[in-house]
This record gives sequence, structure tokens and C-alpha cells, in this order.
Amino acid sequence: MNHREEALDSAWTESAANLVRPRFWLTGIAFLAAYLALNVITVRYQFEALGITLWSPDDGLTVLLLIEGVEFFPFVLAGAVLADVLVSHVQHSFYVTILAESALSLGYLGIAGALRDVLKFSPRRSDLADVLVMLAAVPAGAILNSLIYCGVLYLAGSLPADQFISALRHFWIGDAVGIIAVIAAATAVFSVSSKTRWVWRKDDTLNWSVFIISSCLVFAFIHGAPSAYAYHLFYLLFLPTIWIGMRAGYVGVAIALLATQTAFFMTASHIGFSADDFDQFQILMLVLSITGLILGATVTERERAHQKLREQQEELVRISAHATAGALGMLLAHELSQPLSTVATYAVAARRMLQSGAGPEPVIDALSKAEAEAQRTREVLERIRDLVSVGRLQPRPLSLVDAALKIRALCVEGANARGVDIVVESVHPIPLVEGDPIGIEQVLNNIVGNAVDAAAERRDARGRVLVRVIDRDGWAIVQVDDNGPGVAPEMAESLFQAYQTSKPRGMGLGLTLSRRIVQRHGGRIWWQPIAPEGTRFVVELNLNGPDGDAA
Amino acid sequence: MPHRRHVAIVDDEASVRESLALLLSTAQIESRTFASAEDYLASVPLDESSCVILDNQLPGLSGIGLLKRIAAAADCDTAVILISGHGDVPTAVSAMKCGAFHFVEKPLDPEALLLTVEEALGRTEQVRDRQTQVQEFRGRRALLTQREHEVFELLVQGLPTKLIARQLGITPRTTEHHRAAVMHKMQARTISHLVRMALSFDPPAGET
Repeated sequence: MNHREEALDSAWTESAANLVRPRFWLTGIAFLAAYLALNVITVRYQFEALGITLWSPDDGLTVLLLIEGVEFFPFVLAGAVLADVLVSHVQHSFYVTILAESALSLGYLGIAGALRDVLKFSPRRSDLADVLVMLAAVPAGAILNSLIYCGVLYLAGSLPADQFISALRHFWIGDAVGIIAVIAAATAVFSVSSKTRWVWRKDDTLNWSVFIISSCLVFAFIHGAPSAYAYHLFYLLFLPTIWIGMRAGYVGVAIALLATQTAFFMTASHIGFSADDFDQFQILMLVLSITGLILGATVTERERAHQKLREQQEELVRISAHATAGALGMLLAHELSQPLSTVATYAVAARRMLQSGAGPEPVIDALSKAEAEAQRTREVLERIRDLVSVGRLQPRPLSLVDAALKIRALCVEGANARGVDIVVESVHPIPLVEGDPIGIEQVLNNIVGNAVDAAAERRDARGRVLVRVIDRDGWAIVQVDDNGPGVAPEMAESLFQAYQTSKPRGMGLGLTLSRRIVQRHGGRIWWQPIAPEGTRFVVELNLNGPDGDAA
Repeated sequence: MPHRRHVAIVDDEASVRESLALLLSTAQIESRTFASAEDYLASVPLDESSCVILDNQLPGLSGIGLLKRIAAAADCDTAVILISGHGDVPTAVSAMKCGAFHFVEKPLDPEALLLTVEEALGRTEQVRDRQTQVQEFRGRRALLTQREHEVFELLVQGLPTKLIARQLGITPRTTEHHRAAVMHKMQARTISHLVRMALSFDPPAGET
């Protein structure tokens, strides 16, 4: 058996296997139901009872299903024939219907195949390149399909020659608008359902409220206007579409377009636009769809690039923090070992001289040299401290809530990835404190980072870090709670001491530096275990400045 | 001629050189200091120092570089103590491979370093004593006549007088005579003493 036969054989086995797979049947039957339902709705604008509708989201479903799998072809064909017979009540004979719909279904198979296999399009991606491919391929494919369908009807004598061009245009516009809308909406649905932690953000409520209200206003205008002005008013639909594209990207536009098209179809049939009028509007709708989707895809692409850049920056910050700690260690070891050795050498030499009964002169000489070396050691230390710059604080009025939010923004992606949520809470506006922004952010970053590390150790429940900013009795207080396993008893005593660390990559300097910074601000930093599990770190800063008296 | 306890300190830091020299002086060890490997090479014959305290991080030729030069010199018994930064394992490994006497990490423990220097000096002295001794043995062997030399070679192989006499084709009496002369000239108290001297010649055969 050669390879081709084998491949055919396996393809055959596979299609045979489909017949017993419930998922195959469920998908097919769901498609049929949705397809017929859409036909019932869209048949309102049918061209001369030829099974040509001016808005064809049903054909969008067809293309989508065929992109998902060629094996669904029988359902596609069955749907098309059933719709013609049961819903459209086409004039032509059953055989012509079978012939025309078979040819057309093969046409859709061609569009789906070209998109998936030639253009490598996938409805699961929303890259700008994919969107552009889809926006170009679908209208082009729709031209071919309209030629196929109208051609068969013409040859069968069902379509008079003088209506051929008109039918062609109606078919094309209905298909192009409908298929684009459905494929884009499918991309939106896939991308929302594929994100494991898709969240409805506060922004989204505003975005969609604005979109829905403005769209309703536009439809109200179109509905109320004399039909001659309706064209002018249609352009108003660009505003909500552009708004949602800017705010919610491709997914937003895709969902919005499907809603707009549906609403517009309802409005048009309610007003009673003629098929010719509706045809004009559908051309505008096609332009609106293409504009909106390209804008949305561009915004999404930019957002992704932005996101990637931010991740890289964070990574860089993390790496450089480690590198700094490592480099600091090397620097300390290198700079201090030399003078330290020399001090010790002079001291030992001096002791040995005394032990061997030497006179005072050489001993004093050796000791003063040791002293000079010790002085040099101190200078080296000062220099390193300047370098690490906990040294000079530049206090200015500072919002601890803003600082906490900034740190959250920096840490939240990494934390989420490790299964930890970070929540920042503040009960009421907190007065500003006098503080060095870099220093305070360093402290918060350290404490929140530790809390995330601790919370990430939770396996039984989701990690949670709660940052609460409050003010009490003249102190501004940041509490950072985690639900991690708590501080190990052997670490508890020495938590703030340098070079104490429970982390494999840590230097053990974080809390030491943090405490130093907080103390320089006249503040306090301490911790306590919290029930039932976890640790609370508290940073308290005096609201009356570093030297002020707290009430 | 006995060598003096002579230590060289090679370090680019003046304070390190000075303090180490002072430390060594408290143990009655003389030292000379050099600021670079090049300085050392320019002013000291390679086999002169008993011990070199060598910082690895030097401008120009590195400590390891100088160590290799010293180790490569013929008949060189200089003990090198290499000093390097903390945790510099690769340097430590290559130092020991290159034949360093010891490897010391910074920051230095002065007492430990002093002990190491004493040890190094002790070893060098031992080596040099043995070399002196071998020179002496060779001098004594050179005094033997041709026949006495033949008797010497057979004696250290452990042959009794009668067998030596037979092998050399002389009478046992004459052999006894030669044997007494060998023992006298080589200043050997016993046969085993004579054997030890013979073994210290290196290489033992093929040399007169």
C-alpha cells in the first residue's frame, strides 16, 4: 500500500470515526439550527425569492464551520437546501435548488480552504495580518460565489438576464458583510474563551455603556429621519464603532459590529426600507465593518506590543535588581578584602613584636599603619554606600496610595502568572506624606515582592496579597498581607538582619535596606503573623514629616 | 653554600607588600618586595627565592603567569604561595596544577599565612639540603678508581664478596681490599648506607 492510499485510507477511517463522535453531530446540528434561524430572520430582505439575502450571517457560519473542518460539508449542503425550501420558498425547481446549492457550498468550501490552507488564516488569531487577509479574501471569494450561484440560476432559466447584475450585487454584498461579521465575532469569542482569566475591567463597563448609548441614539435618529436623510445619518454609526475600536480593540469591534448589523437589520425592516435602499446601506455597512476591524486590529496589535515591551522592561528591572545585588556583593568583597587583610596583617605583626619583646617604636609604627588602613576601609565603605545611594533622600509630598498602585502595576502580571492576586485598598483619601519616592517605592516593591513570593507557595488556594493604605493617629500606614505559609520560626528573630534569606537567589539585603530607608524617613517597619495563615508587614510613616511628632 | 631564608613578595598594592614584609620580619624571615611580575623577573634569578608570595591580580603578567615561569625553570625548588580573590575556584585549581605550593584566599589570615610561609621555607630547605647531599655523594664517588667503581656497583646490588670476586675475575682477598677502599672513600658506615647514597643519584644508572 503506497503513501497516498494510506493517507486516503486514514482519512476515510477518520471520517468514519466522526460518525460515532457525539461532538461531530452536536456541532453539525447546532449549526443547522443556527443557520435556519438566521435564515428566518434575514429572509426579510430577499432578492426576488431566489434565496439571495442582503445580509447573510448564515453564510458566515458556513465558512466558519468549513474552516473548522471539511467533514461538516454534508451539514452545510443540507442547511442550504433546507433553507431554500423551508424558509426562502424559492421559485425554481428542487433539482435546480440542489444543483445551485451544491455548487455554492463547494464555493464556500473553496473560500474556507483558501483562508485556512493557502492564506494560513485562523479565526483563533487576531493579528493585523490575519485580519487584513480575511478582509481581502472574503469579499473576493464572495464575488466568485455570487457568480457561481447566479450563473447556475441563470443557466437553469430561473434568473432573467436583465436581473443578473442586480442579483449578483445583492448576493455579493449580503455575503461579504455577513461573513466578515461572523468570522470576526468568532475570533472575539475564541479569544475571550481562550483567556484563562478573562476579566471584565472597570473600563469595559464605561466603554460598552458609551457604545450602547451612542448607538441607540444613532438608531433613534435613523429611525426618526425621513428616508432620504437616513444615508447621512448612517455615517454617525462610525462614531460608536471607532470609539469601541479605540477602547476595546479587535474583540470589542467584532462584537460591536455583529450587534450593529443585527440592530441595523431590525431597524431597517421595522422602518420598511426597500431592498434597493437596504442594498445601499449594506455597502456603507461593509465600509464600516472593514474600517472598524482594521482599527480594532491595529489597536490590539499596538496594545500587544506595548504589553510585550512592558514585560520585557519588568524582566529587565528584575534582572538588573539581581545583577545589582550580585555586583554589590562582588564589589564589597573585592574592595574590602584588601584593606581588611592589611589591617589584620599589621595587627598580627604588632602583637608578635610585642610578644618577642621588641621596643615600642616599631610596634607603634605598625599600629598606626593598621589605623590608616582601617580609615581607608571606612572610606571605601562610604563610597559604596554613596554608590548604592540609600544615602541621600529627596523627600517631597507623596501619595502612598499612588505608590502602592504603581508597585501593583509593576508586580501584578508576574504575580498573576504565579497564581497570586494583588489587591490595593484604601478606605478614604490618605493625606500626602513627605518621602523620597524612589526610596519608598523600593521599600514597597520589596515588601510586596516578598508577599507575592510567600503567597505563591500556596497550593491549596489562590495566593492573595492585600495592600491596604490607611491613616491613623498622624501616621500613614501601608499594610501588606499575604496568605502564604508565614515566617519560619528560625527566621523570625533575624528577619531584618543583612544576609538572612530564605530564598535561593536572594542576597538577604532587601528587608535590611527597606528598614534603613524607612528609618531614614522617621518611620517604622515591622511584621506580625496573621490568623489563620500569613504574614502582615506594616510600614508606618509620620504624616508630619520625618521629624514631626505623631499624635 | 647554604641558601638564606629568602622570601619574595609580589603585589601591586604597596600597603600589602609593606605589611607582609613587616609580618615576616617578626618571624625573622627576610623578604624583598616587588610591585609586578616583570619587576621580579628582571631582578631575581628564577631559582634564587626560597618562597614567593604572589598576588594573582597583577598589572601585566599575572600571578599564574609568573608561577608558570618559575615552575618551568630547570632545577627550581622555589615554593610559590598564590593569593587570589575569595571563591575564585578556577584560579585555585590552575594554581595547584601549575605546581603552586599553596593557594590563599583574600581576605588573608596573617597567622595562617605565616605558618604556610614557614612550611614552604622548610620544604625548600629540605629539598636544597638533599641536593647538596647528592652533590657531595657525587664528589665522593668521583674519587673511586675504575676497579673500585666496579666493586661499588656490584656491592650496592647486594652481591657478597665471593661472587663479586668471581664476576670480576679477581681473588676474594683483592676484592676485600677494594671493598674497604670504597667504604672509606664514600664515607659509608654500613652497606645499607652505601645503598642509600647510590639510590639518591638521579638517574641512578648511566652516570659516572
